[in-house]
Amino acid sequence: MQLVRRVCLLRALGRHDEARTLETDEFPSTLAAVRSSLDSSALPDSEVQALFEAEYLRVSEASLLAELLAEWFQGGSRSSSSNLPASPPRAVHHNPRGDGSHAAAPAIADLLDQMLEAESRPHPKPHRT
Amino acid sequence: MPTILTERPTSSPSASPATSSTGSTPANGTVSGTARRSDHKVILLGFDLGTNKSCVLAGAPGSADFAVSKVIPSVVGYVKEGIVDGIITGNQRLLFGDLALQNALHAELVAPLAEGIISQQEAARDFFHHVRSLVDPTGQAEIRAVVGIPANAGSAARDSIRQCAMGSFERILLIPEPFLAALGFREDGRVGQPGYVDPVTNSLFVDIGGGTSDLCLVQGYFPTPDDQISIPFAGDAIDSLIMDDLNRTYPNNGLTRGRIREIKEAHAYVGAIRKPIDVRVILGGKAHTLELGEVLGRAANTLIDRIYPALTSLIARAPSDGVVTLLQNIVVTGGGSQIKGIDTVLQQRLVDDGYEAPKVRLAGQDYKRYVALGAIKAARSARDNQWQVLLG
Repeated sequence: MQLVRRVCLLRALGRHDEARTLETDEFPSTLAAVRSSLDSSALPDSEVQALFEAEYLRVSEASLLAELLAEWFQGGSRSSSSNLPASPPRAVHHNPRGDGSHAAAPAIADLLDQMLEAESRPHPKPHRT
Repeated sequence: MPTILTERPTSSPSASPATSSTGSTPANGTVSGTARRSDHKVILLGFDLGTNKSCVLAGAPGSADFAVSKVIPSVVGYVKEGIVDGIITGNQRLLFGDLALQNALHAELVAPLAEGIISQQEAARDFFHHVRSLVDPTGQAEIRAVVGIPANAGSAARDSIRQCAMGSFERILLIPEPFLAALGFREDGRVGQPGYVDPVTNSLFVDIGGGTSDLCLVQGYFPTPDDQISIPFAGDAIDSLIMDDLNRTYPNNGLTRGRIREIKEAHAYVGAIRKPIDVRVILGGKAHTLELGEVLGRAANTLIDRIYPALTSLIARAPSDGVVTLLQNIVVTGGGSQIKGIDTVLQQRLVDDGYEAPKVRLAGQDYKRYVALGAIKAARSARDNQWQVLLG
């Protein structure tokens, strides 16, 4: 689990080479060891995939929360706690036109979350020329 | 208005299960109408619902294989009264796709869509039923369909699709086509490799269909309305221009829309006028050769004139730090990508306007399948709580 988190964290930070090294060198042997310690049907690939997806989302949200808190702490000495964000944190790559970073490969399920979230609030129609 | 319910269970994300979970009681206490098919197998469907052609890819959850892979003309044929037994195979009253077109003399042909959205509800409902029967002949499975929609599809157009899908599919997700094209075009095995630019991370897709041309910035998040431009000018509009032009030059030529489309698909081009392009046609039972170089060029170049401003408009909206990479990743897909020279003409116009080393490329021969491929990838990745459940 820790290894999965490290991979996701590295990817969220845009350090893809290190993430890939972990995934290709360390992860297969760790996974094999975990599987051999359990019964043969334990931890199929689909569960591993789900584990990565869940962890990626968690790391993304934590990253954004950290960013928001950092901003808040920086501004905290100047103003009151009303600077706290009113809305719940969202994953870093959920922010359209955020920091312009295109480093992380987004998970499809996360993109669908964004779509559903956008659909649930009123928005202007797409441009039609 | 169809009744839909988006399930929002609190469980952690997980891959789609191999069997249905629709027997559960949703948060609002409504019992799902799909319970009749609970405990049966689930079939995932990627459905590119096109104005002229639709593509269907279907498979089981957890499998990379497709049990069904078909491109079907989006047309329903209602067999006319009084047709003698045996004329239509199996004496069917309802025909679909190629079979409908082959029996055009004996059936009233109805296209369910116009300009990318449903215009004939009954035909659309029949068409959806047909798609269901293709992917699940037993009628017992739970169908989870991701359906591609034009970038401009508003809530009425979406509701219309859901309404028509009721009774055919149990769960549905409606996703803009150019975004699905990017997903379908993505080579998943190469994501993360050095030198590979993931189209889902930073690209601009130009999807030229029959009814609409949809342009979309795909930049690692789900496209917002600002990232998409839809133009109600595409293949059908080119057909109309060709037809009008021909009618002026050759009055009473008797060429059908279908024949015009065939001519366009075989010869259309953009750029400098090419002459001669001689096309053999049958008019009044006699063979004639028409020189169509100018007619075809004029009509297709109109498409460029409509698309190019939208293309530059979207480029202007892209974040400045990613725009150089974006310019390297402009992809033309859909039937319009088969118009000769469309990539080079768009690229040259960008170069002429001073854009930095733009690269416009074609999606390739698989252009008919990318939207459906993206749709089934989305279906395979969607969590249980992301599907909208259609309550009959």
